[in-house]
Amino acid sequence: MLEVKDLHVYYGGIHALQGISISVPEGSVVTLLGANGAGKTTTLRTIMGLVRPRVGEITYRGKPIVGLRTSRIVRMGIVMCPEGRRIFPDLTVWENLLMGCYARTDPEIERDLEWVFSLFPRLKERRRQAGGTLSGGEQQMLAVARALMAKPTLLLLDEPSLGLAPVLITELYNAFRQIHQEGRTILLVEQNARAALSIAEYGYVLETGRIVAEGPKDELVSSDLVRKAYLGIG
Amino acid sequence: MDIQQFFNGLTLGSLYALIAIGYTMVYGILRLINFAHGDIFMFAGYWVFFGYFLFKLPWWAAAVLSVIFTAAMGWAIERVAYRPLRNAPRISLLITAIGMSLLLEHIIIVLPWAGGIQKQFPRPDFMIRIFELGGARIQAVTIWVPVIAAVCLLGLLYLLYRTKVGRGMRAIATDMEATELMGADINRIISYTFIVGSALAAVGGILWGCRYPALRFDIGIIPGWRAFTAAVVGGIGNVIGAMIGGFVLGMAEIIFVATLPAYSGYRDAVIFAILILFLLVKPTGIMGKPLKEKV
Ligand SMILES: Nc1ncnc2c1ncn2[C@@H]1O[C@H](COP(=O)(O)OP(=O)(O)OP(=O)(O)O)[C@@H](O)[C@H]1O
Ligand SMILES: [Mg+2]
Repeated sequence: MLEVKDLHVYYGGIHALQGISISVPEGSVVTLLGANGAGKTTTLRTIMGLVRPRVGEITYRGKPIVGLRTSRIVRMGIVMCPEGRRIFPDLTVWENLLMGCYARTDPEIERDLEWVFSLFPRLKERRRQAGGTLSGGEQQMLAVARALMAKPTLLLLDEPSLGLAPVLITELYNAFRQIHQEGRTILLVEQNARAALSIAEYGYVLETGRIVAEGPKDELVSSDLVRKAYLGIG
Repeated sequence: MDIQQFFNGLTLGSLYALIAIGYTMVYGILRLINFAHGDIFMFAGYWVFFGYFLFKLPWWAAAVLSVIFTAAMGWAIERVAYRPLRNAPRISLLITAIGMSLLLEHIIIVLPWAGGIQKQFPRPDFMIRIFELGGARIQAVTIWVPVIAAVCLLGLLYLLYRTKVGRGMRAIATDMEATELMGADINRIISYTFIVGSALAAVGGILWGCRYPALRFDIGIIPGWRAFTAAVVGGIGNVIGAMIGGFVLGMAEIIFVATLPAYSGYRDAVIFAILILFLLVKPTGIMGKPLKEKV
Protein backbone atom coordinates (compact mmCIF):
# COMPACT_ATOMS: atom_id res chain seq x y z
CA MET A 1 0.00 0.00 0.00
CA LEU A 2 2.79 2.39 0.98
CA GLU A 3 6.26 1.98 -0.46
CA VAL A 4 9.15 4.18 0.61
CA LYS A 5 12.30 3.69 -1.47
CA ASP A 6 15.80 4.94 -0.73
CA LEU A 7 14.70 8.13 1.01
CA HIS A 8 17.33 10.79 1.70
CA VAL A 9 16.33 13.87 3.71
CA TYR A 10 18.54 16.78 4.70
CA TYR A 11 17.95 19.58 7.18
CA GLY A 12 20.42 22.14 5.93
CA GLY A 13 23.69 20.26 6.21
CA ILE A 14 22.33 17.48 8.43
CA HIS A 15 21.76 14.21 6.59
CA ALA A 16 18.77 13.11 8.67
CA LEU A 17 17.57 10.16 6.56
CA GLN A 18 20.25 8.23 4.75
CA GLY A 19 18.46 5.94 2.38
CA ILE A 20 15.38 4.55 4.08
CA SER A 21 13.20 1.90 2.48
CA ILE A 22 9.96 0.78 4.10
CA SER A 23 7.01 -1.18 2.91
CA VAL A 24 3.58 -1.14 4.52
CA PRO A 25 1.24 -3.76 3.03
CA GLU A 26 -2.51 -3.14 2.97
CA GLY A 27 -4.24 -4.18 6.18
CA SER A 28 -1.05 -4.57 8.21
CA VAL A 29 0.38 -2.96 11.32
CA VAL A 30 4.02 -2.06 10.77
CA THR A 31 6.21 -0.45 13.39
CA LEU A 32 9.21 1.80 13.09
CA LEU A 33 11.39 1.67 16.19
CA GLY A 34 14.32 3.88 17.08
CA ALA A 35 15.93 6.01 19.76
CA ASN A 36 15.69 9.80 20.04
CA GLY A 37 16.89 11.56 16.95
CA ALA A 38 16.93 8.42 14.80
CA GLY A 39 14.75 10.02 12.16
CA LYS A 40 11.36 8.47 12.87
CA THR A 41 9.41 11.70 12.88
CA THR A 42 11.30 12.90 9.83
CA THR A 43 10.21 9.77 7.97
CA LEU A 44 6.54 10.37 8.77
CA ARG A 45 6.77 14.08 7.99
CA THR A 46 8.30 13.28 4.64
CA ILE A 47 5.48 10.86 3.84
CA MET A 48 2.96 13.60 4.71
CA GLY A 49 4.65 16.08 2.39
CA LEU A 50 5.75 18.42 5.19
CA VAL A 51 9.41 17.78 4.33
CA ARG A 52 10.77 17.34 0.83
CA PRO A 53 13.23 14.48 0.31
CA ARG A 54 16.34 15.20 -1.72
CA VAL A 55 16.37 11.70 -3.15
CA GLY A 56 13.86 8.89 -2.98
CA GLU A 57 10.43 7.71 -3.93
CA ILE A 58 7.22 7.34 -1.99
CA THR A 59 4.27 5.62 -3.60
CA TYR A 60 0.81 5.10 -2.16
CA ARG A 61 -1.33 2.50 -3.92
CA GLY A 62 1.06 2.72 -6.83
CA LYS A 63 0.88 6.51 -7.18
CA PRO A 64 3.95 8.65 -6.44
CA ILE A 65 3.14 11.18 -3.73
CA VAL A 66 6.43 13.08 -3.33
CA GLY A 67 5.78 16.74 -4.10
CA LEU A 68 2.04 16.60 -3.48
CA ARG A 69 0.57 19.03 -0.99
CA THR A 70 -0.25 17.75 2.47
CA SER A 71 -3.95 18.46 2.07
CA ARG A 72 -3.93 16.33 -1.07
CA ILE A 73 -2.14 13.46 0.66
CA VAL A 74 -4.67 13.55 3.50
CA ARG A 75 -7.51 13.38 1.03
CA MET A 76 -5.89 10.31 -0.55
CA GLY A 77 -6.32 8.60 2.81
CA ILE A 78 -2.98 8.98 4.62
CA VAL A 79 -3.47 10.67 7.98
CA MET A 80 -0.86 11.35 10.61
CA CYS A 81 -1.38 11.71 14.33
CA PRO A 82 1.63 13.88 15.15
CA GLU A 83 4.19 13.55 17.90
CA GLY A 84 3.30 15.54 21.01
CA ARG A 85 -0.46 15.31 20.31
CA ARG A 86 -0.71 18.79 18.79
CA ILE A 87 -4.41 19.12 19.55
CA PHE A 88 -5.94 22.60 19.25
CA PRO A 89 -5.97 23.82 22.85
CA ASP A 90 -8.47 26.66 22.36
CA LEU A 91 -10.99 24.55 20.48
CA THR A 92 -13.40 22.27 22.31
CA VAL A 93 -13.04 18.50 22.06
CA TRP A 94 -15.97 18.50 19.68
CA GLU A 95 -14.41 21.20 17.50
CA ASN A 96 -11.09 19.35 17.47
CA LEU A 97 -12.91 16.32 16.09
CA LEU A 98 -14.64 18.47 13.50
CA MET A 99 -11.23 19.83 12.47
CA GLY A 100 -10.32 16.22 11.79
CA CYS A 101 -12.97 16.03 9.09
CA TYR A 102 -12.02 19.36 7.54
CA ALA A 103 -11.30 17.82 4.15
CA ARG A 104 -14.37 15.58 4.17
CA THR A 105 -17.71 16.26 2.58
CA ASP A 106 -19.31 12.82 2.79
CA PRO A 107 -22.42 12.26 4.89
CA GLU A 108 -20.89 9.64 7.20
CA ILE A 109 -19.31 12.11 9.59
CA GLU A 110 -22.02 11.54 12.23
CA ARG A 111 -21.47 7.80 12.17
CA ASP A 112 -17.70 8.21 12.54
CA LEU A 113 -18.19 10.56 15.48
CA GLU A 114 -20.25 7.85 17.17
CA TRP A 115 -17.52 5.36 16.40
CA VAL A 116 -14.67 7.41 17.90
CA PHE A 117 -16.81 8.15 20.94
CA SER A 118 -17.33 4.41 21.38
CA LEU A 119 -13.56 3.91 21.15
CA PHE A 120 -12.87 6.73 23.62
CA PRO A 121 -15.99 7.21 25.77
CA ARG A 122 -14.18 9.76 27.92
CA LEU A 123 -14.03 12.18 25.02
CA LYS A 124 -17.79 12.14 24.76
CA GLU A 125 -18.14 13.23 28.38
CA ARG A 126 -15.71 16.07 27.75
CA ARG A 127 -16.83 17.15 24.32
CA ARG A 128 -17.65 20.72 25.37
CA GLN A 129 -14.37 21.21 27.21
CA ALA A 130 -11.44 23.08 25.66
CA GLY A 131 -8.84 20.65 24.33
CA GLY A 132 -6.10 22.33 26.35
CA THR A 133 -7.80 21.47 29.63
CA LEU A 134 -7.67 17.71 29.03
CA SER A 135 -5.12 15.51 30.76
CA GLY A 136 -2.15 14.24 28.77
CA GLY A 137 -3.75 10.86 28.21
CA GLU A 138 -7.05 12.35 27.14
CA GLN A 139 -5.24 14.67 24.76
CA GLN A 140 -3.55 11.68 23.16
CA MET A 141 -6.92 9.99 22.77
CA LEU A 142 -8.28 13.16 21.24
CA ALA A 143 -5.34 13.34 18.84
CA VAL A 144 -5.97 9.77 17.70
CA ALA A 145 -9.72 10.33 17.49
CA ARG A 146 -9.18 13.50 15.50
CA ALA A 147 -6.96 11.65 13.04
CA LEU A 148 -9.63 8.94 12.71
CA MET A 149 -12.19 11.59 11.82
CA ALA A 150 -10.17 12.27 8.70
CA LYS A 151 -11.15 8.76 7.58
CA PRO A 152 -7.67 7.32 7.10
CA THR A 153 -7.02 4.18 5.16
CA LEU A 154 -3.41 4.44 6.33
CA LEU A 155 -2.91 5.85 9.81
CA LEU A 156 0.54 7.12 10.83
CA LEU A 157 1.01 7.27 14.60
CA ASP A 158 4.04 9.10 16.00
CA GLU A 159 4.98 7.90 19.50
CA PRO A 160 1.42 7.71 20.83
CA SER A 161 2.52 6.15 24.14
CA LEU A 162 4.98 8.91 25.00
CA GLY A 163 4.55 10.12 28.57
CA LEU A 164 1.52 7.95 29.34
CA ALA A 165 0.95 5.68 32.35
CA PRO A 166 0.95 1.93 31.56
CA VAL A 167 -2.82 1.64 32.07
CA LEU A 168 -3.43 4.35 29.52
CA ILE A 169 -1.00 2.77 27.08
CA THR A 170 -2.97 -0.46 27.32
CA GLU A 171 -6.22 1.41 26.76
CA LEU A 172 -4.80 3.24 23.76
CA TYR A 173 -3.36 0.08 22.23
CA ASN A 174 -6.71 -1.67 22.64
CA ALA A 175 -8.17 1.14 20.59
CA PHE A 176 -5.44 0.64 17.96
CA ARG A 177 -6.37 -3.05 17.75
CA GLN A 178 -9.98 -2.11 17.09
CA ILE A 179 -8.97 0.48 14.54
CA HIS A 180 -6.93 -2.19 12.79
CA GLN A 181 -9.83 -4.65 12.91
CA GLU A 182 -11.98 -2.02 11.24
CA GLY A 183 -9.73 -2.49 8.23
CA ARG A 184 -7.28 0.36 8.63
CA THR A 185 -3.58 0.00 7.95
CA ILE A 186 -1.24 1.40 10.60
CA LEU A 187 2.35 2.60 10.53
CA LEU A 188 3.30 2.94 14.16
CA VAL A 189 6.38 4.87 15.27
CA GLU A 190 7.51 4.06 18.79
CA GLN A 191 10.36 4.03 21.24
CA ASN A 192 8.26 1.75 23.40
CA ALA A 193 9.15 -1.42 21.51
CA ARG A 194 7.29 -3.71 23.89
CA ALA A 195 4.00 -1.97 23.26
CA ALA A 196 4.58 -1.57 19.54
CA LEU A 197 5.57 -5.21 18.99
CA SER A 198 2.43 -6.31 20.85
CA ILE A 199 0.35 -5.34 17.82
CA ALA A 200 2.74 -4.99 14.88
CA GLU A 201 3.35 -7.90 12.57
CA TYR A 202 6.47 -6.42 10.99
CA GLY A 203 9.01 -3.92 12.21
CA TYR A 204 11.96 -1.75 11.24
CA VAL A 205 14.69 -0.44 13.51
CA LEU A 206 16.07 2.96 12.69
CA GLU A 207 19.37 4.31 13.94
CA THR A 208 20.80 7.71 12.97
CA GLY A 209 18.96 7.83 9.70
CA ARG A 210 19.51 4.23 8.62
CA ILE A 211 17.51 1.02 8.89
CA VAL A 212 19.71 -1.32 10.92
CA ALA A 213 17.28 -4.19 11.33
CA GLU A 214 13.94 -5.33 9.98
CA GLY A 215 11.79 -8.40 10.06
CA PRO A 216 8.58 -10.02 11.22
CA LYS A 217 7.67 -9.41 14.83
CA ASP A 218 8.91 -12.77 16.18
CA GLU A 219 12.27 -12.38 14.52
CA LEU A 220 12.71 -8.89 15.97
CA VAL A 221 11.64 -9.90 19.45
CA SER A 222 14.27 -12.62 19.51
CA SER A 223 17.05 -10.59 17.87
CA ASP A 224 19.90 -9.46 20.10
CA LEU A 225 19.78 -5.87 18.91
CA VAL A 226 16.14 -5.32 19.78
CA ARG A 227 16.35 -7.30 23.02
CA LYS A 228 19.27 -5.23 24.27
CA ALA A 229 18.48 -1.76 23.02
CA TYR A 230 14.71 -1.70 23.01
CA LEU A 231 13.38 -4.36 25.32
CA GLY A 232 16.05 -4.04 27.98
CA ILE A 233 16.70 -7.78 28.08
CA GLY A 234 20.07 -9.52 28.09
CA MET B 1 -19.34 62.58 30.67
CA ASP B 2 -22.50 63.63 28.88
CA ILE B 3 -24.54 61.61 26.39
CA GLN B 4 -22.93 63.25 23.40
CA GLN B 5 -19.47 62.36 24.55
CA PHE B 6 -20.52 58.84 25.37
CA PHE B 7 -21.66 58.35 21.79
CA ASN B 8 -18.50 59.98 20.48
CA GLY B 9 -16.41 57.52 22.47
CA LEU B 10 -18.54 54.60 21.38
CA THR B 11 -18.16 55.67 17.76
CA LEU B 12 -14.43 56.07 17.90
CA GLY B 13 -14.10 52.81 19.82
CA SER B 14 -16.17 50.97 17.20
CA LEU B 15 -13.95 52.32 14.44
CA TYR B 16 -10.77 51.26 16.22
CA ALA B 17 -12.28 47.84 16.91
CA LEU B 18 -13.15 47.31 13.25
CA ILE B 19 -9.58 48.09 12.19
CA ALA B 20 -7.91 46.30 15.09
CA ILE B 21 -9.46 42.96 14.15
CA GLY B 22 -7.57 42.83 10.86
CA TYR B 23 -4.27 43.43 12.64
CA THR B 24 -4.94 40.86 15.29
CA MET B 25 -6.19 38.10 12.97
CA VAL B 26 -3.23 38.38 10.64
CA TYR B 27 -0.80 38.59 13.53
CA GLY B 28 -2.40 35.56 15.15
CA ILE B 29 -1.74 33.43 12.09
CA LEU B 30 1.40 34.80 10.45
CA ARG B 31 3.01 36.67 13.37
CA LEU B 32 3.10 39.63 11.01
CA ILE B 33 2.29 43.25 11.82
CA ASN B 34 0.53 44.06 8.59
CA PHE B 35 1.66 47.65 8.08
CA ALA B 36 -0.45 47.91 4.95
CA HIS B 37 -3.65 47.42 6.94
CA GLY B 38 -4.06 51.14 7.73
CA ASP B 39 -3.68 51.91 4.05
CA ILE B 40 -6.26 49.29 3.14
CA PHE B 41 -8.57 51.22 5.47
CA MET B 42 -7.64 54.47 3.71
CA PHE B 43 -8.32 52.93 0.29
CA ALA B 44 -11.88 52.03 1.26
CA GLY B 45 -12.67 55.74 1.56
CA TYR B 46 -11.26 56.33 -1.90
CA TRP B 47 -13.27 53.51 -3.46
CA VAL B 48 -16.45 55.21 -2.24
CA PHE B 49 -15.13 58.55 -3.51
CA PHE B 50 -14.41 57.12 -6.97
CA GLY B 51 -17.68 55.22 -7.18
CA TYR B 52 -19.73 58.20 -6.11
CA PHE B 53 -18.08 61.07 -7.97
CA LEU B 54 -16.40 59.38 -10.92
CA PHE B 55 -18.91 56.67 -11.76
CA LYS B 56 -21.93 58.51 -10.34
CA LEU B 57 -23.13 55.46 -8.43
CA PRO B 58 -25.68 55.78 -5.65
CA TRP B 59 -23.90 56.15 -2.31
CA TRP B 60 -24.94 52.75 -0.95
CA ALA B 61 -23.74 51.02 -4.15
CA ALA B 62 -20.40 52.81 -3.94
CA ALA B 63 -20.10 51.71 -0.32
CA VAL B 64 -20.90 48.06 -1.04
CA LEU B 65 -18.48 47.99 -3.97
CA SER B 66 -15.85 49.61 -1.79
CA VAL B 67 -16.10 46.80 0.75
CA ILE B 68 -15.80 44.21 -2.04
CA PHE B 69 -12.84 45.92 -3.72
CA THR B 70 -11.04 46.51 -0.45
CA ALA B 71 -11.51 42.87 0.56
CA ALA B 72 -10.14 41.86 -2.84
CA MET B 73 -7.13 44.11 -2.27
CA GLY B 74 -6.42 42.41 1.04
CA TRP B 75 -6.64 39.03 -0.65
CA ALA B 76 -4.35 40.14 -3.49
CA ILE B 77 -1.73 41.63 -1.18
CA GLU B 78 -1.40 38.39 0.75
CA ARG B 79 -1.37 36.35 -2.44
CA VAL B 80 1.24 38.43 -4.24
CA ALA B 81 3.42 39.92 -1.50
CA TYR B 82 3.18 37.79 1.63
CA ARG B 83 2.56 34.24 0.51
CA PRO B 84 5.85 33.84 -1.38
CA LEU B 85 7.59 34.76 1.88
CA ARG B 86 5.77 32.21 4.04
CA ASN B 87 9.01 30.44 4.90
CA ALA B 88 11.30 33.46 4.72
CA PRO B 89 12.73 35.12 7.85
CA ARG B 90 10.11 37.18 9.63
CA ILE B 91 12.02 40.42 9.01
CA SER B 92 11.63 40.04 5.22
CA LEU B 93 7.90 39.78 5.68
CA LEU B 94 7.84 42.86 7.90
CA ILE B 95 9.80 44.94 5.41
CA THR B 96 7.54 43.78 2.60
CA ALA B 97 4.55 44.94 4.63
CA ILE B 98 6.12 48.36 5.09
CA GLY B 99 6.83 48.50 1.37
CA MET B 100 3.24 47.52 0.62
CA SER B 101 2.04 50.32 2.87
CA LEU B 102 4.15 52.89 1.03
CA LEU B 103 3.06 51.50 -2.32
CA LEU B 104 -0.63 51.91 -1.50
CA GLU B 105 -0.12 55.47 -0.26
CA HIS B 106 1.83 56.40 -3.35
CA ILE B 107 -0.73 54.89 -5.68
CA ILE B 108 -3.19 57.42 -4.27
CA ILE B 109 -0.66 60.24 -4.56
CA VAL B 110 -0.02 59.66 -8.26
CA LEU B 111 -3.61 58.94 -9.28
CA PRO B 112 -4.74 61.85 -11.48
CA TRP B 113 -8.21 62.28 -9.93
CA ALA B 114 -7.08 61.80 -6.38
CA GLY B 115 -3.67 63.31 -6.16
CA GLY B 116 -1.88 64.36 -3.01
CA ILE B 117 -4.46 67.01 -2.28
CA GLN B 118 -7.18 66.57 0.27
CA LYS B 119 -10.58 65.46 -0.99
CA GLN B 120 -13.96 65.40 0.64
CA PHE B 121 -15.54 62.02 1.42
CA PRO B 122 -19.16 61.96 0.19
CA ARG B 123 -21.45 61.74 3.21
CA PRO B 124 -25.08 60.68 2.77
CA ASP B 125 -27.74 62.81 4.48
CA PHE B 126 -28.90 60.07 6.82
CA MET B 127 -25.44 60.02 8.39
CA ILE B 128 -25.06 63.74 9.10
CA ARG B 129 -28.57 64.45 10.31
CA ILE B 130 -28.60 65.90 13.82
CA PHE B 131 -31.22 65.16 16.42
CA GLU B 132 -31.87 65.79 20.07
CA LEU B 133 -31.53 63.08 22.70
CA GLY B 134 -31.98 63.91 26.36
CA GLY B 135 -31.14 67.53 25.68
CA ALA B 136 -27.93 66.70 23.79
CA ARG B 137 -27.46 67.24 20.09
CA ILE B 138 -26.39 63.96 18.51
CA GLN B 139 -25.25 63.40 14.96
CA ALA B 140 -26.82 60.32 13.39
CA VAL B 141 -23.41 58.95 12.45
CA THR B 142 -22.54 58.40 16.11
CA ILE B 143 -25.51 56.02 16.34
CA TRP B 144 -25.00 54.36 12.98
CA VAL B 145 -21.33 53.58 13.54
CA PRO B 146 -21.74 51.57 16.78
CA VAL B 147 -24.79 49.79 15.37
CA ILE B 148 -23.13 48.82 12.09
CA ALA B 149 -19.95 47.87 13.93
CA ALA B 150 -21.91 45.69 16.35
CA VAL B 151 -23.58 43.88 13.46
CA CYS B 152 -20.19 43.29 11.81
CA LEU B 153 -18.59 42.07 15.02
CA LEU B 154 -21.48 39.68 15.72
CA GLY B 155 -21.16 38.43 12.17
CA LEU B 156 -17.46 37.87 12.72
CA LEU B 157 -18.08 35.94 15.93
CA TYR B 158 -20.62 33.80 14.09
CA LEU B 159 -18.05 33.13 11.38
CA LEU B 160 -15.33 32.24 13.88
CA TYR B 161 -17.37 30.08 16.22
CA ARG B 162 -20.07 28.57 14.03
CA THR B 163 -18.55 27.92 10.60
CA LYS B 164 -15.96 25.53 9.30
CA VAL B 165 -13.62 28.13 7.86
CA GLY B 166 -13.89 30.10 11.11
CA ARG B 167 -12.91 27.01 13.04
CA GLY B 168 -10.00 26.66 10.65
CA MET B 169 -8.97 30.26 11.37
CA ARG B 170 -8.92 29.61 15.09
CA ALA B 171 -7.07 26.34 14.64
CA ILE B 172 -4.43 27.73 12.30
CA ALA B 173 -3.69 30.53 14.79
CA THR B 174 -2.51 28.01 17.37
CA ASP B 175 -0.90 25.42 15.10
CA MET B 176 -0.57 25.92 11.38
CA GLU B 177 1.09 22.58 10.71
CA ALA B 178 -1.45 20.58 12.69
CA THR B 179 -4.19 22.35 10.73
CA GLU B 180 -2.45 21.32 7.53
CA LEU B 181 -2.33 17.73 8.79
CA MET B 182 -6.13 17.79 9.04
CA GLY B 183 -6.20 18.06 5.27
CA ALA B 184 -7.16 21.72 5.43
CA ASP B 185 -5.97 24.01 2.67
CA ILE B 186 -4.13 26.53 4.81
CA ASN B 187 -3.64 28.97 1.93
CA ARG B 188 -7.37 29.16 1.57
CA ILE B 189 -7.87 29.82 5.28
CA ILE B 190 -5.21 32.53 5.22
CA SER B 191 -6.85 34.12 2.18
CA TYR B 192 -10.17 34.18 3.98
CA THR B 193 -8.50 35.81 6.96
CA PHE B 194 -7.17 38.64 4.83
CA ILE B 195 -10.52 39.03 3.07
CA VAL B 196 -12.44 39.23 6.34
CA GLY B 197 -9.92 41.56 8.01
CA SER B 198 -9.86 43.88 4.99
CA ALA B 199 -13.62 43.91 4.62
CA LEU B 200 -13.98 44.96 8.26
CA ALA B 201 -11.33 47.64 7.75
CA ALA B 202 -13.32 48.80 4.71
CA VAL B 203 -16.47 49.13 6.77
CA GLY B 204 -14.36 51.04 9.29
CA GLY B 205 -12.90 53.26 6.54
CA ILE B 206 -16.29 54.13 5.10
CA LEU B 207 -17.76 54.89 8.51
CA TRP B 208 -14.65 56.88 9.40
CA GLY B 209 -15.25 58.97 6.28
CA CYS B 210 -18.81 59.65 7.39
CA ARG B 211 -17.47 60.90 10.70
CA TYR B 212 -14.25 62.62 9.59
CA PRO B 213 -14.73 63.37 5.90
CA ALA B 214 -11.21 64.55 5.03
CA LEU B 215 -9.71 62.16 2.48
CA ARG B 216 -5.98 62.05 1.89
CA PHE B 217 -3.33 59.42 1.16
CA ASP B 218 -2.11 59.44 4.76
CA ILE B 219 -5.40 59.24 6.69
CA GLY B 220 -4.87 55.54 7.42
CA ILE B 221 -1.62 55.95 9.28
CA ILE B 222 -2.69 57.40 12.62
CA PRO B 223 -5.94 55.41 12.99
CA GLY B 224 -3.93 52.37 11.93
CA TRP B 225 -1.41 52.85 14.71
CA ARG B 226 -4.11 53.51 17.26
CA ALA B 227 -6.02 50.41 16.20
CA PHE B 228 -2.84 48.37 16.33
CA THR B 229 -2.31 49.67 19.85
CA ALA B 230 -5.86 48.59 20.63
CA ALA B 231 -5.05 45.11 19.33
CA VAL B 232 -1.99 44.92 21.59
CA VAL B 233 -3.89 46.24 24.60
CA GLY B 234 -6.61 43.67 23.97
CA GLY B 235 -4.08 40.88 23.57
CA ILE B 236 -2.64 40.55 20.10
CA GLY B 237 -4.00 37.55 18.24
CA ASN B 238 -7.24 37.58 20.20
CA VAL B 239 -10.27 38.83 18.26
CA ILE B 240 -12.47 39.57 21.25
CA GLY B 241 -9.50 41.33 22.85
CA ALA B 242 -9.16 43.54 19.79
CA MET B 243 -12.82 44.53 20.08
CA ILE B 244 -12.46 45.36 23.76
CA GLY B 245 -9.13 47.14 23.19
CA GLY B 246 -10.73 49.27 20.48
CA PHE B 247 -13.53 50.40 22.76
CA VAL B 248 -11.20 51.04 25.69
CA LEU B 249 -8.94 53.22 23.57
CA GLY B 250 -11.77 55.08 21.84
CA MET B 251 -13.45 55.87 25.14
CA ALA B 252 -10.19 56.87 26.82
CA GLU B 253 -9.35 59.21 23.97
CA ILE B 254 -12.74 60.94 24.04
CA ILE B 255 -12.76 61.22 27.83
CA PHE B 256 -9.30 62.77 27.74
CA VAL B 257 -10.20 65.24 25.01
CA ALA B 258 -13.49 66.13 26.72
CA THR B 259 -12.03 66.69 30.17
CA LEU B 260 -8.84 68.42 29.09
CA PRO B 261 -9.75 70.07 25.79
CA ALA B 262 -6.71 72.34 25.93
CA TYR B 263 -4.47 69.28 25.78
CA SER B 264 -6.30 67.43 23.01
CA GLY B 265 -3.12 67.55 20.94
CA TYR B 266 -1.66 65.04 23.38
CA ARG B 267 -4.25 62.35 22.67
CA ASP B 268 -1.70 60.04 21.11
CA ALA B 269 0.46 60.45 24.18
CA VAL B 270 -2.48 59.18 26.22
CA ILE B 271 -3.01 56.24 23.90
CA PHE B 272 0.61 55.25 24.06
CA ALA B 273 0.68 55.77 27.82
CA ILE B 274 -2.14 53.22 28.03
CA LEU B 275 -0.15 50.91 25.82
CA ILE B 276 2.99 51.22 27.92
CA LEU B 277 0.99 50.76 31.09
CA PHE B 278 -0.46 47.55 29.70
CA LEU B 279 2.87 46.31 28.49
CA LEU B 280 4.23 46.82 32.00
CA VAL B 281 1.32 45.41 33.97
CA LYS B 282 -0.10 42.79 31.64
CA PRO B 283 2.20 42.33 28.66
CA THR B 284 -0.11 39.87 26.96
CA GLY B 285 -3.06 42.28 26.97
CA ILE B 286 -6.57 42.09 28.36
CA MET B 287 -7.51 38.75 26.79
CA GLY B 288 -4.03 37.50 26.06
CA LYS B 289 -2.47 34.24 27.11
CA PRO B 290 1.23 33.85 27.76
CA LEU B 291 2.87 34.17 24.36
CA LYS B 292 4.64 31.17 22.99
CA GLU B 293 7.24 31.81 20.36
CA LYS B 294 6.29 30.10 17.13
CA VAL B 295 8.90 27.79 15.68
N1 LIG C 1 13.58 21.08 11.62
C1 LIG C 1 14.80 20.51 11.81
N2 LIG C 1 15.92 21.20 11.53
C2 LIG C 1 17.14 20.65 11.70
N3 LIG C 1 17.34 19.42 12.15
C3 LIG C 1 16.27 18.66 12.44
C4 LIG C 1 14.94 19.18 12.29
N4 LIG C 1 14.07 18.21 12.65
C5 LIG C 1 14.83 17.15 13.01
N5 LIG C 1 16.14 17.40 12.88
C6 LIG C 1 17.24 16.47 13.15
O1 LIG C 1 17.03 15.30 12.38
C7 LIG C 1 17.32 14.15 13.15
C8 LIG C 1 16.12 13.22 13.20
O2 LIG C 1 15.09 13.86 13.92
P1 LIG C 1 13.66 13.20 14.14
O3 LIG C 1 12.82 14.22 14.80
O4 LIG C 1 13.17 12.64 12.88
O5 LIG C 1 13.99 12.03 15.17
P2 LIG C 1 13.01 11.05 15.93
O6 LIG C 1 13.47 9.68 15.62
O7 LIG C 1 11.62 11.36 15.65
O8 LIG C 1 13.36 11.36 17.45
P3 LIG C 1 12.41 11.41 18.75
O9 LIG C 1 12.27 10.02 19.23
O10 LIG C 1 13.18 12.24 19.72
O11 LIG C 1 11.13 12.03 18.34
C9 LIG C 1 17.76 14.64 14.52
O12 LIG C 1 19.19 14.62 14.55
C10 LIG C 1 17.26 16.04 14.59
O13 LIG C 1 18.11 16.85 15.36
MG1 LIG D 1 10.07 11.99 16.77
